[in-house]
Amino acid sequence: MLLSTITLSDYLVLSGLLFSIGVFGVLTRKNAIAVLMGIELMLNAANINLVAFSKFIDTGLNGQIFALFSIVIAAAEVAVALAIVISIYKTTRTIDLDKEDTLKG
Amino acid sequence: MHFDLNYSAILPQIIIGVTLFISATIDAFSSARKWPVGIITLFGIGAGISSAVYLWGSNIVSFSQMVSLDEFSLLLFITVMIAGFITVLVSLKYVDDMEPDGGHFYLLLLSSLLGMMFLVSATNLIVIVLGLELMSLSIYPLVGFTRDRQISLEGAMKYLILGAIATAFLLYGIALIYSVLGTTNLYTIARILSTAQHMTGNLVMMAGVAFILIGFSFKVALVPFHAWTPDAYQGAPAPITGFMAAAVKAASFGAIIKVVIIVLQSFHVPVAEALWWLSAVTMFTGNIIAVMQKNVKRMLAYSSIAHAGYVVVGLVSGTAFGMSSAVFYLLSYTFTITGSFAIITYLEKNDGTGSELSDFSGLAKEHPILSLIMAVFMLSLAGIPPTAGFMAKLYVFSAAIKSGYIGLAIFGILTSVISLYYYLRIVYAMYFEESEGRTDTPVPAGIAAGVFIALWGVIQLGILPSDIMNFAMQSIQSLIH
Amino acid sequence: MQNYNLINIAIYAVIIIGFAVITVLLSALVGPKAKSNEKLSPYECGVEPVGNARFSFPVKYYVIALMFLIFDVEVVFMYPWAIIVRALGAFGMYEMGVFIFIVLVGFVYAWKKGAFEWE
Repeated sequence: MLLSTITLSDYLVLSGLLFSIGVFGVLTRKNAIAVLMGIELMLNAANINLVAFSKFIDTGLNGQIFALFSIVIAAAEVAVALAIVISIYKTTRTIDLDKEDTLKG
Repeated sequence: MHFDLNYSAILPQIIIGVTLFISATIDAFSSARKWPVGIITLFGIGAGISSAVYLWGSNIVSFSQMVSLDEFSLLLFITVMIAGFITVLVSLKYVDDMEPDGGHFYLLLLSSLLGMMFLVSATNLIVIVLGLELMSLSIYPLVGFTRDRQISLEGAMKYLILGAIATAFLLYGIALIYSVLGTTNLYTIARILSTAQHMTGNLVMMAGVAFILIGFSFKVALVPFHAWTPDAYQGAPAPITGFMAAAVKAASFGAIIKVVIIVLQSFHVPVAEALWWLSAVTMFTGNIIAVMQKNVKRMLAYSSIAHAGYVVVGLVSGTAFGMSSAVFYLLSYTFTITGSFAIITYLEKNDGTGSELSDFSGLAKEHPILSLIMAVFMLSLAGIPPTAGFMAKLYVFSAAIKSGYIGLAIFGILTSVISLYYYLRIVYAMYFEESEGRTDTPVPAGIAAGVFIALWGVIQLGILPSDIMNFAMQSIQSLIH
Repeated sequence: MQNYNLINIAIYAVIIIGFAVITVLLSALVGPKAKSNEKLSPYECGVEPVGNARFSFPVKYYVIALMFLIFDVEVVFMYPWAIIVRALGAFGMYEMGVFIFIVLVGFVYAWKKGAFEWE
């Protein structure tokens, strides 16, 4: 039966979907905050893989520890990003990435 | 309980970390002028370089095989710390001119150095990601350091978004590899791969390797993953642009070389094929677009993209000699580009202008020595003897020819002929064009010192390259053993 | 682990979605309807709404939020440590002390730089 068991490939499919949604969000959104949310999805897709496979095939806890680190990395990234977004907002009053086009060539 | 801890395996990192704390404390409790923080930073980096030289020859793997201290990591430590040292020297006056309370400049620089050092000494994918992120997260605010310039913040934002995407790709690739092999330790991965059959037919594994390559390609700006480079390089304060071009590139390439040598031996054919295309496209695109640039920072940004392509030529060949030539290339490029940006720092005005091609017109009349040195740097970038850039290109291309990649080598040489055009345009502007009136300020001592260190490196590596090449060979051997 | 029955999760999902839908529908069908200006205005704990809800917050909120985010997330590293702290013994205490010290330096730095000052 289709719905009977959760296998390893299900986790791969789930994280693959999540990663694709993240990439889609990054590519289509114009608002800086929305783009960051897409990136968060991509990072969390990786976390799902790490945690799931740590449970299934690793004898140690490498994957879960790695996931903790990647959560912290994601938070630090968001903090730096927000700080820069705030600075940009102070000077230009917009966070629309398409309007950030002074640099060209 | 047994702990596998050998603190001498991270001695240079500890020195940089302690310097970071001391500098932070002094910065927090000191008033307006921040050059004392810079001086402390200089001493710290100097101590770090000395410790790396002192530790040369040791080979320690410690912290549960998380980091290794071998000649490879030591040589790259020295490379990135030289870049950091010159950058701090150049910035001593610049920082105080730009920001009233800009001590965090040095702190961010130190923490990015720390990240780079963990990145190149990592023997576990977790540490690679952590090092890469510590490096990148410290560089983003540095790009946006000059907060009142809109282009600075814009460059930082674009760099951050694309850098974060690169991290996501890298992390996902690592997660895929972990899901196949169940480990993130480079040595264990290598052991499994060397015994396993038909790994190249495993789709998940191939996707993982591809994602990791994409992530790294973003970080070192290989075409078509280079979109952020020109904006971030032009927007960043001039000393930071030099630091990014030299140290960030060297550290990221260090990690790539390490992963390729230790892990990807069994993937050599598909990886070399992918790198072949990346390097050809990168050399071509970087040099062609650089020809059209009017702004020197932006021109050197495209040129740095092209130079990443030349480093990849060394990787494509796949031999120990090819890898060593790539390491040599990184060192020579570090000296050349930090020196060039030291001079651009001097020319850059407080509002961020001053790096157009026209700003170089007639520089030779007012600053004959500075112009001569700039010309030497440009010739080194173009690959004219007797400079470091020439020897680096020679090694890289001869490695490619020895491994049978003759077409790629010829293509690389042709593109570097194109590059001669835009490097010489700067020289032409300095010597044969009329000045448009420049407010003449004396060259600050820090910039002069930085320029002379860089010049020494360029000449040294150009005239007596064999010693340094031997070190590079030793460093690659220390990975293979 | 591998033999979770997904049908249980499906039934659970149906029940909770059904509950939410039925509650909303029932209140719409059964409840009395008295439309007035007061009723249509946004509910703010019984207080008269003042001004537009979409105004920009002072940047200081974001700075505080950023500081909170960073120091909050550092705690993540203490969970795995806390599980094996007894097995680690004194060494574990020293190591966590070093970690806390590093975070503390960052905290003092942010403090001295005025990140927590409201005015």
